[in-house]
Amino acid sequence: MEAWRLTDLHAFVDDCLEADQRLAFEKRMAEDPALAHRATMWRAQNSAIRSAFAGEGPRAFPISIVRHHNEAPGRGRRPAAIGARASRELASRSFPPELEDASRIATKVGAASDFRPLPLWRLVVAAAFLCLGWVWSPAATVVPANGLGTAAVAAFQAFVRPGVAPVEFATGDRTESQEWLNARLSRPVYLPAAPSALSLLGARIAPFPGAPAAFLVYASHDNRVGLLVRSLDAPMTREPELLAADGGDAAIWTWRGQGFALVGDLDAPSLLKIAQALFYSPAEGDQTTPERGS
Amino acid sequence: MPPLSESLADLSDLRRFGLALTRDDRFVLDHAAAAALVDRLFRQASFEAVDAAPAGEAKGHAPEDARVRAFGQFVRLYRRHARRLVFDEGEAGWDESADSARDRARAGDVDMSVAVRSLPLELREALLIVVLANFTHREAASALDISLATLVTRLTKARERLSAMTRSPNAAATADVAERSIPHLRIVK
Repeated sequence: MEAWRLTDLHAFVDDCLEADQRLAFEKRMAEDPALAHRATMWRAQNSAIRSAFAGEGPRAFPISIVRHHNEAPGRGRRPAAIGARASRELASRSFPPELEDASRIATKVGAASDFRPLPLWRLVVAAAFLCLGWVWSPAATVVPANGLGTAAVAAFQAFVRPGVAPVEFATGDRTESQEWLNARLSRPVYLPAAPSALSLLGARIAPFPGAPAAFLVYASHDNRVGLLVRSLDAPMTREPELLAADGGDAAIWTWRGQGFALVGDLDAPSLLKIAQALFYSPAEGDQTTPERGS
Repeated sequence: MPPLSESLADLSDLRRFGLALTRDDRFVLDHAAAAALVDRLFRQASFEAVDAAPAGEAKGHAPEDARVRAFGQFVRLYRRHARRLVFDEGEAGWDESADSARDRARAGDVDMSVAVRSLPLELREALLIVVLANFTHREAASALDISLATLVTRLTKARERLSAMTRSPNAAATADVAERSIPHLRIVK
């Protein structure tokens, strides 16, 4: 298909044609069944995509985008060679009526004013964004703390008990454990250095919703503790905190894009103390970068 | 004096676009992870929106629509994030999943959301910004920082791949008949 026909076809499918261009294209489609078929197919595809993602983004987030004072309303709109929908029309289509009113008022205020915004305003706006960010930020979705805690407690109960080998790979060496885990997990695992009060017994793979996780067993005096490590999608680093999980206690923290859950036959304060020792013990530079599949 | 804000814009479109864009079959496997990532990227995009406008104009650039700018910043931040993930994974390129995705998504046996997720990022972002965010082609090209011709090429590839992945056997037969009458010419710039 010629490039111009293809461009027009996409523009038709995406409602980017002016009324007269649209009529002309519809005439062309009437004479060309293949073109009409493809347009129908792609339109149906658009509808299917919108339906498939209709449930996404149900929350509305009021975001104030700052316009520079030289950017008068209506200026700077790009000519719509194929894209005939005005940006204003597009934007207002997604605003509720009360925001449309606010938009009009803000536009009038903006048009009447001809002062350069003071730097102080930028700071105020930045602070407002920061506040919005806090309000907007999901409270519990960043780190699945409950999931980590529950999985760690389950793994500890399943594997660290008499008559069961607690680890699949017995070693006291952190680097060896890391390499063994990286050869078996799809994403790299970074292990913290163990404080002197803990000695590593080995590692194993433990179940976790969606994908397996790393599980390490340590000896702490006469007790044993288990550490579940799971890669997360870029969580913020968070210090250890205690969580009641599935009838036990777990200390949860995040570090280097991973979630950690420490569990064991210890009271909660002792668990937290060990977790803090693990969290603060390693200097970042001391960590060995693992190689995948080695 | 208040800042010359266009409005308190309801950019839920951007969130929906972001959630659809960031979900893939490699790094962001579930809705919660996508939501956290989108929120984090969007906070960064908001800050850059404040800072970027005067800088762009100081260089003599034409003022851009705030909405296009916000989407553009989000896309750039996500591309950067995706590149970093790919780099961490030790893989060769951020767009190399196309073939394996096509292998996974055999013709006619996947639903639309799975098919969209399996598209390479460059095709997915072009398609979603037009279809989900209702951008005109010019606005989409501007937000994605590509030429109009490139956008049209990517839309074509995206739509053809989706058709191949999602059509039912009956529809596939009908489409094959129809496509035989359509000459497949590669667009050469």
